[in-house]
Amino acid sequence: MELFTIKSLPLWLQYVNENWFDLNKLNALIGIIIFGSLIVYFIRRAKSGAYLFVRRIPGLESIEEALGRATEIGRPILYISGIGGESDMQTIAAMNILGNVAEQIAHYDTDLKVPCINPIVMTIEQELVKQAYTRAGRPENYKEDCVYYLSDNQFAYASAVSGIMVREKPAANFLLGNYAAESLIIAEAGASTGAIQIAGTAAISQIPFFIVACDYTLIGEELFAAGAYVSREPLLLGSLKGQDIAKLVIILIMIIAIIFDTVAAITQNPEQKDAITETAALETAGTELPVLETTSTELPTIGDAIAEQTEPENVGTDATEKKPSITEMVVAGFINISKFMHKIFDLKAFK
Amino acid sequence: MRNYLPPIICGVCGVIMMLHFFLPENTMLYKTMMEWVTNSTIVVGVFGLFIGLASLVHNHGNRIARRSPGWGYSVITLSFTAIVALTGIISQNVGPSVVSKPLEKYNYDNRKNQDHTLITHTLFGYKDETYKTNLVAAATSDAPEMKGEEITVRKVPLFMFFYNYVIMPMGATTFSLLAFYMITATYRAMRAKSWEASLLLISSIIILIGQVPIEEIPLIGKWIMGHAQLIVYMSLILYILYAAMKQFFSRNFMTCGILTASAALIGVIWYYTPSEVDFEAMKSVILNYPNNAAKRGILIGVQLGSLATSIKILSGIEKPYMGGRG
Amino acid sequence: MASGSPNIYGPKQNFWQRHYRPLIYLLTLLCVVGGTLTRLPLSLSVSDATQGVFDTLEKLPELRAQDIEKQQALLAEKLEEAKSNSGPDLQKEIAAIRDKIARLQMNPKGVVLVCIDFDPSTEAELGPMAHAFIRHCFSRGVKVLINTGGNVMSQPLAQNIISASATEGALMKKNKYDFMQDGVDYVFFGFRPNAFQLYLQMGENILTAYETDYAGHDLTLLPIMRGIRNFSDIDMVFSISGYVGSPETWITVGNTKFGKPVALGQVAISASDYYPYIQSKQICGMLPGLRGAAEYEGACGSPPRATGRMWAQLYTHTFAILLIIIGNLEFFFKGFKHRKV
Repeated sequence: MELFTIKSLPLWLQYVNENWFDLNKLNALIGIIIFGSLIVYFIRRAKSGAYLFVRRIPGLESIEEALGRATEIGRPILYISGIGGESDMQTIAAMNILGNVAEQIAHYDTDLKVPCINPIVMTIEQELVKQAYTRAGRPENYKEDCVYYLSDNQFAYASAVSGIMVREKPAANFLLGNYAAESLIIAEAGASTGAIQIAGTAAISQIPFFIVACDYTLIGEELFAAGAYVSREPLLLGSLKGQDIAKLVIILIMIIAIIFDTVAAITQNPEQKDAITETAALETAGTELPVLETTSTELPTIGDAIAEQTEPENVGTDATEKKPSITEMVVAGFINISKFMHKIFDLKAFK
Repeated sequence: MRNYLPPIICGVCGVIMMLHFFLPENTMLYKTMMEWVTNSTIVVGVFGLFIGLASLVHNHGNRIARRSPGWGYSVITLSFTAIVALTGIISQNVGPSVVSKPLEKYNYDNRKNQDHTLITHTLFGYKDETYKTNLVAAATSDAPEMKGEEITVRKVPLFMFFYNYVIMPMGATTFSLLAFYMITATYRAMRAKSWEASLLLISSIIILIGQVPIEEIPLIGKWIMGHAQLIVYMSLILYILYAAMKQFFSRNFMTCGILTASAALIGVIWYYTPSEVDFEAMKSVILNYPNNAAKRGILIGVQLGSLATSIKILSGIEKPYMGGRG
Repeated sequence: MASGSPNIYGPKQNFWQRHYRPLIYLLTLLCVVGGTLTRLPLSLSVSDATQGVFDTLEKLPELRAQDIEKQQALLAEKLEEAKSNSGPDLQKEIAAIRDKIARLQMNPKGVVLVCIDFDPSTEAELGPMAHAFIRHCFSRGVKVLINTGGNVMSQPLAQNIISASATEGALMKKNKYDFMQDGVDYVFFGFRPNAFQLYLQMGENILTAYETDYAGHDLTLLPIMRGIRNFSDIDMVFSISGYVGSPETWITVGNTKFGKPVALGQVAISASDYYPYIQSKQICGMLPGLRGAAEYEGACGSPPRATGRMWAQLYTHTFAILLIIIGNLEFFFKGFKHRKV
């Protein structure tokens, strides 16, 4: 590590002299702070014993039923945590559920099979299942080779999993995590064997396939909520609540932004309209564009262009020359607020 | 120690990466950190490769040793793992022969020194063929220098041979299974079980038609598209009238009235729509508006969920790397 | 429990419910085989998403001219400034701008980066796309840089596609172009791990990100690289991918960070995920699945690789619609009993 030798001291001094914060990312920092504090607040509330309501998620309530059936007919349970790597949030969410499922399985004394696509994920899941069995007080039921590696290739993995499903006929299949085109191959193979299938993914284009071929599907963020829901731990439930409130805040901001943007778009003057079409032309030509990141795509793009183009002088000069009517003032206010909101969202935070 | 160290490492690394995010991108520190992260990912990835291989050998080896059902497959898996790994290592000059022909008649004045060749190869040997086969089989990574001969025979690396004739068709086969599964799933799921399901059904038919030019089907295509409007509207109206009739017999006169009125409304719409239905335009409307709206909704939820999970992992509330709650 | 599966708990199933799968599989196979054997021309209308990709590529020389103009204006400004104040920093800046203009002028028709990021499994859909696009670039004299992002497995496939496209043009009657030379008209970088960081590094300097091309030639010695140093010398990115996350990486790096038009080629299954990005103008267009490839072939006059395969899709779609109708009739005549599927 040449970074940590005495020779690298001048290098470090050079680092110290640099600017250490990108002001363009300020909005992200503020967002994280607000979001984080909401979560911390609700975790504290949960710790102090307050009741936190979480709506029913049928897919997760059926886990018990699936495990029961597997025990009843003496067939294994297959758990697939998607094709994501160890740093994929969906894989991590799937791992959280695996911990809880494995703990219940340990009680039932049923076989668990976890084929993996990623060796690092495999290592983590091995540890996770082992811990879960220990927590359940049945370390002797844990089998060394229940978590194993299949292949790195997406479709080789899919065909291997389908093979396992057809040969070993598991009673329940859990398909949670990040999936791509192989989702339906796996899910249909499972459906044809008659297993109970509980799926969940945040990969939007794969959700329909799971809904068609599986008995229960966790849609989008339900996957992330599942860990908290299954374990019922106050810490996790609190964070779930915080997340919900944050979502509410975002929805409110969105609605307000849409109202302001719509008003601004309706009440603009014709010159600005020309300017907008110009920007649109530029945008299609692919020059420097004002771009929104996925998280802020809720803002209408036309309005975005308007806000960029609305010169503050237009409103200001009108106001000084003659006394503006109330509607004009309201309109000017709307445009200014809309501009301000776009400024917040248009910082380079996510770029 | 075993309980405290992993969360500390995780938290510290996470915070470092977060600080990295807020650094201006043109700074030295940003670049150094990025390099460090890249290198560490590669190192961990290589270890992962060995772990995966060990697990594969262990798992399948056990199966063969125990002669458990289907152990023959394990033999195939292990032997092909070894073979493909070996083909990557051995000399590039080992492999099936390939014939290369310089394309002199296509040489243009300004480009005399062509090193483009027509390469054809078939299983276990070579065959002189037209350029058409070349399109599939021009698989060499580095064409050798042409030495003026008419025809040169040389070897294609064995790995490329496996890639072209084993990996490619097998991968394509697995992916094409999707078509079969999708059709059976369509048959099972696309039924007008409820109002929402009917909406889904109608939009799926529009997309299916809009995606392909049905009128191009020989003999019947034109007829189908000519009568598409009639079929769509008539089936819709009949379906709604049927539902209304059921409501009538179960004495829900209110619902029955609403359904009949909506059937009449559809009839009016039918009367006023142009005779040519533009399914492609309808398809793009469905994809661009309802589809996008739903996707964005889910997307925002998913991003928030990931953010919350990240915060939980950074703060040590969730420890998936330590068996869940550790 | 999904109906139609050999249900061990549910009610007894009749013959059709137990055996409908093989029959449907067989009919689907017939549709595909029939489609493959049909060799008729097919006329397709071009969708906006495809048109966007086509138009962007056609406009590249214009874009480049605009870029050069912009840089020249900047140079004039700096030179004006240098009259009153001649610090070493300003001189360096001026030299850099001059260098940049020289580089931009070297490829007046534009430079495109094509990211071939799919493995053999999705070749049937994405291969024709890559062929058609690269050919379109060659026929317009656009220089092509090719890399692979997510997976080592796409490397040999990319090599196949490039060498075929490079030779093919001379053998065609329509839309003919010269033999394209490796290292002069195009370069294939091959695979390097950790795509995201790699792309960021490419924004800085491509020569340090890759060092050699796929065949092992030193990049600094290749004629094509004389006019290309980093992302500012590239006019457009076309990412053809069958992997999760790869297009998002390009949208983030290529468009949002470096402001270059990004176009996508996607498998039809995941194509619907990327329509929001067209609306928000983060991508300039997209080729959605085989249909997109066929449309593109039609638009730029490539040989009908995808269009030939469209027949299979056409027959299968018609079969799917037929099945939906049959399924609904079956459901309709069985009455509105509550059933779970």
